Amino acid sequence: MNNTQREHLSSINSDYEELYGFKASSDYMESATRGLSEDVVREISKMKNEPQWMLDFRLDALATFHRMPDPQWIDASVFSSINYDNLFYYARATDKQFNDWDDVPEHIKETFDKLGVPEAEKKFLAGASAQFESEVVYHHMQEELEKQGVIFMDIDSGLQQHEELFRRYFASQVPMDDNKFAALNSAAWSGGSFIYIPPGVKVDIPLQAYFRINAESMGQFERTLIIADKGASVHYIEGCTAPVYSSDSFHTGVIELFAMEGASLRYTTIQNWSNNVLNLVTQRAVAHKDAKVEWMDGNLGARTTMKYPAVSLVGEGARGRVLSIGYANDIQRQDAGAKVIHAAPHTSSTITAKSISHNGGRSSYRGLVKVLPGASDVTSNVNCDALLLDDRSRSDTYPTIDVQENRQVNVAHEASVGKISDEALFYLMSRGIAEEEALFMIVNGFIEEFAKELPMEYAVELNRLIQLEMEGAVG
Amino acid sequence: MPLLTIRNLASTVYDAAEEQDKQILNGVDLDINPGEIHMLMGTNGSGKSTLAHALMGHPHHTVTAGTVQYKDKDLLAMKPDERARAGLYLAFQYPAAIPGLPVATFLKKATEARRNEEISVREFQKELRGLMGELEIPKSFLGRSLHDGFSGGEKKRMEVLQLNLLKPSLAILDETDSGLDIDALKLLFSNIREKTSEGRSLLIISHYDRILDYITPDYVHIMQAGKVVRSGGVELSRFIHSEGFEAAVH
Amino acid sequence: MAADTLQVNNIQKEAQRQLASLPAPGAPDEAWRRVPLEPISVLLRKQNVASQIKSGNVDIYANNTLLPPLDISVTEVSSVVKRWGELESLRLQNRLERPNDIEQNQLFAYPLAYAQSIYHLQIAAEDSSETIQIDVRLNSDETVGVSTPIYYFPVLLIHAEKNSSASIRIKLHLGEENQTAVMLSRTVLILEDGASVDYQDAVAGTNRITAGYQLEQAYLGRDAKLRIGREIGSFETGMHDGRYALQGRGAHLEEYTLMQAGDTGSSDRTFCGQKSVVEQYAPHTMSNVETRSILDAAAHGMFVGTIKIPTGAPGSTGHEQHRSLLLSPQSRIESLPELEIVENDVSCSHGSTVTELDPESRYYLESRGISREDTRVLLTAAFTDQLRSRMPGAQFELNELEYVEEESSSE
Repeated sequence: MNNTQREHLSSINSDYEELYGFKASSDYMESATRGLSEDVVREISKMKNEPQWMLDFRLDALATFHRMPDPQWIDASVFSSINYDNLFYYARATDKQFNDWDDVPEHIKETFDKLGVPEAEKKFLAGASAQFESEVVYHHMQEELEKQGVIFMDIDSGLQQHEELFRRYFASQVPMDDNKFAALNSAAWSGGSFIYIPPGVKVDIPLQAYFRINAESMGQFERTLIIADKGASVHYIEGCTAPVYSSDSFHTGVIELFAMEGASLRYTTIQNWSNNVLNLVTQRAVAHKDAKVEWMDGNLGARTTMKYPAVSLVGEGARGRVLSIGYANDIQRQDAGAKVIHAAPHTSSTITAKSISHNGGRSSYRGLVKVLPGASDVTSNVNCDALLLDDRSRSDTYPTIDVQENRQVNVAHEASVGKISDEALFYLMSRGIAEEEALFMIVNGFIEEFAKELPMEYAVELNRLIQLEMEGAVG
Repeated sequence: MPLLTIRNLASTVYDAAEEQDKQILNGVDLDINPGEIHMLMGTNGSGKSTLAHALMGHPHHTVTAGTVQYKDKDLLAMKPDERARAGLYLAFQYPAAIPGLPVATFLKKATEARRNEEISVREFQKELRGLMGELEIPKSFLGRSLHDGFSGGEKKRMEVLQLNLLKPSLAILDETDSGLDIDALKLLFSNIREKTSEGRSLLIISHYDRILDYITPDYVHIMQAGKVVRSGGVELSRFIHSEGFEAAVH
Repeated sequence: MAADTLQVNNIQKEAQRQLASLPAPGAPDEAWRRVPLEPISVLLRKQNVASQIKSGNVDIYANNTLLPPLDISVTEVSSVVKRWGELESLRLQNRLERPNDIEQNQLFAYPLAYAQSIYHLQIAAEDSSETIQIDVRLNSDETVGVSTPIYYFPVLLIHAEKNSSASIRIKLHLGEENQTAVMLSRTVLILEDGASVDYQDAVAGTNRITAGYQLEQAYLGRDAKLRIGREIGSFETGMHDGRYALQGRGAHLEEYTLMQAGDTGSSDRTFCGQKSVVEQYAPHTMSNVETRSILDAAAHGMFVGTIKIPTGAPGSTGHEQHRSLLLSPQSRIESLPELEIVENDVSCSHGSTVTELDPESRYYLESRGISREDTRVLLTAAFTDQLRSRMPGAQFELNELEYVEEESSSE
C-alpha cells in the first residue's frame, strides 16, 4: 500500500444512531471545542448524563494527566507531535461532516477493490455509511445473547444501565495513574464496549465491535470493559484488517479484562489505522483461579503503535497467553510486546511475538515476565521471531525476565532475527513458484501461527493485506 | 532431439566461510535424451551436487563458462521457477524447512504452477492420497510445516512424492538414496522406476550402487574434479563397485 | 606513586571534565536503575573527590614485573592513547543508536579521572603465544578500619599488535586485612588486525569489596579474535560492564561469564550485575556471549546483554545465552537480553532461561544412592563446569564424585 496515497477522511454517517438503536443524548454540541480543560471534561460528563462519581473520577484523572511525564522507554520525538490543546476531545456524530460516497477519493476506492472488500463494507470503512448487511446479523445476535443474560453494549450505555456492576470493575485493572496516556483516557474516555458474561455462559460466536461501530466506538479515547464471570467464556474481536482512515491522529485506548474463576476470555485486535495515527493502548487483564486470558494482537497500521497487553495471573492455575504480530513498513513503527505477572503458584504463560520489518520500518518487542515470591511451580515461554526483509529496516528485542521465586520455576525466552532464507526461496522457486509468490508464501508461513487463530474472514483479509503490503518488496 | 545438452559447463560456488567464490565445475559435458536413465557417480567433492544445483539455478552458484540447452531453450537464461515450469525437477538432498507453510498448501501451489491451471481441492486430495499411500507417507503430513522437524527419510519421501505429482520431463535425484534403510530404499526406488513413464528422463546422483537392484541406468558417468571423466553403460558402475573410482577413471 | 606526566594529566583532566557532563548512573538506563549504589554514591555527590576520599595504591604486574605507567617521553606509549581515540571515534560513527539509552554514566569517567597511574601492556607479534600473568595488587599505606572504605582506581590499557597472540590471566588481589574497599576499574583491550587474545579474569583475597565497578572495553580489528572467561559475584555490590566493538571484517568475540553470588546462610542482600554490549559493524563478524548465574541466599543478580548490528555487516552472527539457577527462595534474577538489528543478512538469536535443578537428573542420581544434598552439589557443579570448560585456559578439574551432564539435549 502506498502510504502517500492515504488521506484523511473525516466523517461517520449520522444515521448510525437510528440503525443501531443507540440512545442519543438529546443535547448536541453545537460547536466543536478543542483542547482539554476542566470545562470540557464537565461538558463531556454532562452530555453523557454521568453520575457524580464518574465526573469526579474524570477530573481527578485530568489533574493526574497534567502532572505525569511522558513514558521514558521510548524516544521523546514520538510524543512531540501531539498537540493536546488542538485535539477534539468530544465530538458527536453530528459534529462531523457528512460525506457522500462520491466524495471518497478514487485511490481509496481502488484499495478496497484490490482487497476484495464488498461494496457495503467499503462505504463503512471509508466512514461514509453504515454496514448494511451486518445490521440484520447484529440484531439477531443481540436477541440470542439477551436470552442468555449477556450484556453487550457500548460503554456509555453500560454505565447508564449497569452502574453498580460497572463501578465494581471500572479502572481497577488500569488505575488512572498507570501511565500518562491512561490518565488522559480516564479523563476524556468516550466510546468502547461494555461486556458482561454471566456465570457458566459460554458465548460461541465471537463478539465483534465491528457490528456496533459508530462514531463513539471508533473514537480516540475508546474504553472497553469485559467481565467474564465464573466459568464463562467469550471471544471478542476488535478492529479489522482492512485499512481504516481516521481523521484523528492520536488514539489512546484503555482495555480492561476480567476473567473470574474458571473463566476463559480471548481478546483479538487487528489494527490497521492509517499512517497519520499515533496509537497507544493500555491493555490489562487479570486471571483468577483456573482462568485463562488470551490476547491476540495484530498490529499492521498506524504511524507509531505502542501497546503491551498484560496479564496478571493472580489465582492458582491461571494461564495467560499473548500472540502478536506486527508489520512495520516504511515510516511505521510497531512498538509492541507483552507483560505477564505470575502472582500465584501453578500458573503458566506463553508469549509469541512475530514481526516483519521492511522498507525502513521498525518493529520492537518490549516484554516482561515477572515471577513474584510465592509463585512456585511456574512455567513461562516466550518466543520472538523477527524477519527483516531488507537491510534498511530494523528489529529490536527488549525483554525483561525478573524471577524472585526459585521453587519449580521454569522460565524460558528465545528470540531470533534474520532475513528470509535464500535456501527456502530457492526451494519454492524450484517447484515452479515465481519469486514474488514464493516470498509471500514464506511470510505467510511466518505469521501462520497468528492467522490460524482468527475467524476465517479475518484470516483471509489478513493474507490479502500482507500480500498487498509486500508488493514492491521484491527487487 | 536431445532433452538436455550440457557443453563445457564451468561454475563457481560462493563459500560463506571463506568469503569467496570457489571453482567447482570445470567444463562438464553431458547429453541426456528423452526416456533415458543416467547415473552420475563420483567421490565427495567431485561436483555432482553442484552440477544439480547449477542446472536448477541456485542463487549462490555462478556459471563462468559453457552452455546448457534444455528442450531447445537456453536453460541458464531462465529463472529457477521458469526451469521448473518447463519440466525440470530436482529432488534436494537437504531441502529447506519452511515453518508455518503446510505441506498440503505447498503441494497444491507447486502442482498448479506446473500444470498452469487451478485444480479443485477435491480432485487434488484424491490424487495426493493415492500417491502418499504408495510411498507410505501418513495423512498427517499434509498439515505439518514443510520439512520442519522431518527426519532424513521423511524428507526424501516428500521429494519423491513431488516427483510423482509434478511429472517432470527431467528429474535430477541428488543423493536420494543416501541415509535410507533397505526397506525405504526399495520402496522409493521401485516406485521411481515404475513411475518413469515413456519420455521421462532421470539423472540419478549417487556414490553407492545399492539402487542398481531396483533401477537400471542406461548410462553411467563418473565425475572427478568438476568434470565428467568417463562414461559407460551399467557395467561401469559394477566395475566401480568392485575396483573403486580411481581404477575406473584410469 | 608514579610521577604524573603531561600526557597523563591531560587524560585525567579530560576525564574530570567528562564527569561534570555525564549523568549519574540510574535513569533511564535499565541496567543501572536497579543497582544499589550507596558506597559509590559518596563519589557521585562530591566534587573534588580526590582530596575527600581515602585512595589506595594500585600496582599492576605482568609476569611479576611491574608494568610501566604511561609516560609520554616514550613514543610507543602516547601512540596507544591516540590509537584508542581513533578506534573510539570510529565506533561513534558506526554505532546503532538507541534513543534514551544512556551509553555512558559518571562511573565511566571515574577510574581515568582519579587513577594514580594508567598502566600499559603492549603485546608484540614476536612475543606471541606467551601466557602473561597479570596481578593487580590493591594495597593501602593506611588501615582506616572497616567502616571507611578505601578507594582504588585500576586502569589498564592492553594493546595487541597485528597478528600477535597471547593468553592473559588477570588476578585481582584484594589483600587480607579487614579493610573494606571500593574499586572502580577500567580496562581497554585493543586487538589490531589478526591479533588473538585469550583473557581470563579471577579474584583472590579475603578483603571485602563493598562496591566494585569494572568497565571493560575492547576494539577488534580485522580477523581479530578475543575470548574472555571470567567469574564474578564476590563483591557485595558488583557490576561488570563490558563494551565490545567488532570493527574489522571477520572479528570474533566469545565472552563467558560465571556469576556466582550469595553466601549460603547469609541474609544480607548482595548484588551482582553484568552488562555486555556487543556492536558489530563489519561483515562476517561473530559474537557469542554466554553467562550462567547461580544465586544463593539473598543474592540479586542481573544480566543485561545487547547485540547491535547496523547495516553494513552482512554475514554476521550474534548469539547471546543466559542461564540462571536460583538456589534459595530469597534470591532474585533479572535478565534482559536485547537485540537491535538493521542488517538483515545475519543470524542472531538470544535465549534466557531460569530453571531449577533438573528433576530427572536429580532422580537419576538419587536412584543410584547419592544423597539429596550431594546431588544438589553435583548438579550445581555440573551447571557451572559446563560453562567453565568453554572458557579460555580452563583448568578443568572433575569432582571426586563423578558428575552428570545436565540437560545436554538443550545445548
